Amino acid sequence: MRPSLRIASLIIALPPLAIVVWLFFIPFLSSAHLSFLREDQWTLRNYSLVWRLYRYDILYTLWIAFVSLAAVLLIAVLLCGYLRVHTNKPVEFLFKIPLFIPFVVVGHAMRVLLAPKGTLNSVLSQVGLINLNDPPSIAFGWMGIAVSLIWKNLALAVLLVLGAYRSVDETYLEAARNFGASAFRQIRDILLPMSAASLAVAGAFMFTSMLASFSVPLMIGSGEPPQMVMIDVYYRINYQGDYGTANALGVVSYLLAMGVAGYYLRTITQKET
Amino acid sequence: MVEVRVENVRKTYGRVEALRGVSLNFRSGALTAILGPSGCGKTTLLRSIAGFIAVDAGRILFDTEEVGGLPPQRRGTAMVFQNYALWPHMTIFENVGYGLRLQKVPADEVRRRVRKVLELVEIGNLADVESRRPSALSGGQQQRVALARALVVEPKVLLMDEPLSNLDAKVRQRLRVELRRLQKQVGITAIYVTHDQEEALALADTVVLMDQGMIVQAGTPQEIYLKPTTAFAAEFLGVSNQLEGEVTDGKLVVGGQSIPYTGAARGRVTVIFRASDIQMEEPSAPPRAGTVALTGVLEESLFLGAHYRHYIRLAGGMVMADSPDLRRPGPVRPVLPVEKVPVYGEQAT
Repeated sequence: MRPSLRIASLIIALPPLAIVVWLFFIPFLSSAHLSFLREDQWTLRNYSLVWRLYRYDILYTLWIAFVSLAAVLLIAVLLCGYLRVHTNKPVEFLFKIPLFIPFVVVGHAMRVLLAPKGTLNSVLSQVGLINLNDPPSIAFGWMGIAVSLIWKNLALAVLLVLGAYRSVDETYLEAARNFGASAFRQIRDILLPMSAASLAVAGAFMFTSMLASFSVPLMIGSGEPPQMVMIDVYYRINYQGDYGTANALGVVSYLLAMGVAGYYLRTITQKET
Repeated sequence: MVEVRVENVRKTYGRVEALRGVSLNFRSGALTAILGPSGCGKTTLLRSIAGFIAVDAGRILFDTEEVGGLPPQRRGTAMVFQNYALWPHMTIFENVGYGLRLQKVPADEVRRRVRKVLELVEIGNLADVESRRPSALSGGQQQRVALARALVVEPKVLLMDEPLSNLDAKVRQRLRVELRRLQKQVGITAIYVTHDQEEALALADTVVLMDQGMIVQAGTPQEIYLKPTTAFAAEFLGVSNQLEGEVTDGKLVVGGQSIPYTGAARGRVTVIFRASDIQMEEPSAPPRAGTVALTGVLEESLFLGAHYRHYIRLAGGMVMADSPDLRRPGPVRPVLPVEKVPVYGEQAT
């Protein structure tokens, strides 16, 4: 590469690099640094607090993220497969609507829908399926959070998975259809394996986003332990002024997400080389 | 072996008429090539027969069974695609055996039939190749695998959509011969779409020439090549010289010469002839009966390996003539046998 080109490349790369350093790398280093300090003393006490008070919250967060991700991917794989084989623009649009709805609104909508005396239970009681005097509640627990995250993330998943499916040339599907492959077999045997890398990348995106969920669990969670990790960070800072433990929780969340991000980076660099 | 019949088939995309009432018989056990330029409707016709496209009107019959309403898998066709369409995540064995697995053929039988068909297409070292992925094979080998995948399910009709056009010239010529051998050996009804006239003529029992969604001419390769019925057919089949002329009062005026003409064309006409049919004589040579003698100037000669190609300027344009010997530039008399100078009226083009 000529020196002038090298300088031009550097200038182009500089703004995004500066943003990553300034908004992510420095705060992370600062957070990691502060997570080992308590009253200006180097200590592991913040981490021991995390272990003692929040280890179930971390498991709870991972459980919700994994369950939601598995459900989103399962629905997206089948739904997008159907939409790839039989184009249906109105259905595709309906599933993409949540892309334009903020998380806070999703949380509120799900509260209205899934609360014990919410819309869903009202409808179910009208048809005699449940008794409103003793209504089951999906909201205010892990299921409510998971349903909200699934609905919200499904839109992004549809966008990414359908894009990946559409990049599979039609002749690959026609070759399978020619031998009698049903829509399900075309998805399972052709589309899914040929889009596996893109699917993994979409999964990595959504998993890290789910780990960092805040407004949805705040609005639709139970308000009692176990809580998702970001709620714990919020309480630790706002109600207890304990930046050390909050930072330790942040570092743990980062480590959880880092494995997935590493996989993502490896996938895109493999694709480009 | 089935006969495929297409009756008055129409297909429209928006305002574009891809097929404009096509009727055709594809003989059972024969290889029919559908030849034509890009956008002539040949691939649409093939995909309609395969069942990938629903036609707007008309009937498609396999022997007496109407298949127009059937999905692709119930028609008993197998398709070989231009880009091979081998699934990259499957091994060669899995690719070829996929159709059989869908038919729930027992594993032992799948193995036996896959190996047999891979031997038939002469894939090479079987044990080595069948466990590889398609990307590890050359283009020619991939197309053999694609052919094996189509043949292994023993289809009634084999459909091929420009299967050799992604290969280099040498491999293409070799595979052409092998395709012909395989089709004869298996005795299957085959339909082959191509834009390469040489390929169509070399491979097919019958050549169907298409243009603008219609059939221009159908016949044996010899008929199509030697007796093109329209100027388009003649031009597309590589007849390299074309001159504008006019027919009036029993005379054809072409290339600055007036010659007797008894054919049906009238008014403005196109005269089309091959470079190999021209003989070059000295301008002083006496005229010969049964020939059309033009007057021109040889401007340039290029050596093409098997022969020289001479570029001769006439009053009505430039013509090419092939001969084994090099000639000096200067005045020359291109001479053509009368029967090799077909005249096409404007409406026929």
